[in-house]
Amino acid sequence: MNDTPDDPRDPKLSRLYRKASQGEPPPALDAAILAAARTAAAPQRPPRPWWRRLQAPFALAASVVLAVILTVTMERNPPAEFDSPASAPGKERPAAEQKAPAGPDVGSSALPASPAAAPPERKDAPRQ
Amino acid sequence: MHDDLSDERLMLAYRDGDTASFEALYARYRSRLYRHLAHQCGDARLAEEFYQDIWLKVINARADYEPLAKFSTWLYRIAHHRLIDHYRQHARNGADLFDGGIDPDELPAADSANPARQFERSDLASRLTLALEALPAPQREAFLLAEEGGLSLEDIAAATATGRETVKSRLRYAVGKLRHSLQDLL
Repeated sequence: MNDTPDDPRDPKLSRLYRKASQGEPPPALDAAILAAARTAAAPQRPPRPWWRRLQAPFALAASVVLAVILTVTMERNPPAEFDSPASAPGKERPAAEQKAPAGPDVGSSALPASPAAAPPERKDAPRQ
Repeated sequence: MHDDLSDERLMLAYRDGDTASFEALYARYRSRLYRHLAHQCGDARLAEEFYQDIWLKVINARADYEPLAKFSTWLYRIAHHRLIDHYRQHARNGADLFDGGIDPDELPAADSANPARQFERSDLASRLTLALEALPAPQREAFLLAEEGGLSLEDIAAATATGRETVKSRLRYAVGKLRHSLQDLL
């Protein structure tokens, strides 16, 4: 491109250069560069929001915490049925048992059912 | 379709995701850039490495590309910087030549200019390669940018970050030496 009068290019030398200059990039290099260009221009997938990316770790952590809480709770407050299967039928039972020893009214309707009321009746019976 | 578009339009289209535009642009410059590098560094393996690096820089810079200069000037500026980086890493004196620390025109001819090697490489392409190798690197670069790149003096000055008069001087020296070396072929 000898575009100005003071350009020192020589047309004869330019023709010789074009005739003699050789060399092409290897096809593998062409392919690698064009592949890189296509990859760079490919639409990028939008990044997942942070809460989606942390979804699995959070779920795992929540499961572990829940399991630990349940285990500790079970150890500190075991269910009643695990202590004594016989006491299971009624929770009022201990209250009734507390009343019986202190009860002065012997003629109450609760007495016949209580084994503790039986001995006084035997005292009145004639001995043989 | 892409033949009518300027280099800058093709690069802008590639920036917007049109890979066919890049392929058209690549086809325009692949031989010219490769020969420029091959003649400039005189080593096919190095030329291929630089060639790939330069195109990858173009690809990676596509998102920020703005046609502030001609595409060719921009491309050869990247090539210039890649060569300077290489000289800085491997041959301190080579970088000094480009930095202006040494007057390249005062340097003796390269070792490859000796008559024994000239005799071995007698065909036209080899004669040209030999004559180019004998030039100081800045003169060789100015000549290759003019002939292979087709750049004007102003564009060469912009690509190499030097003044227009310096480029003209380098080119004049390069042309004079090459005419002397290849006078029997002209």
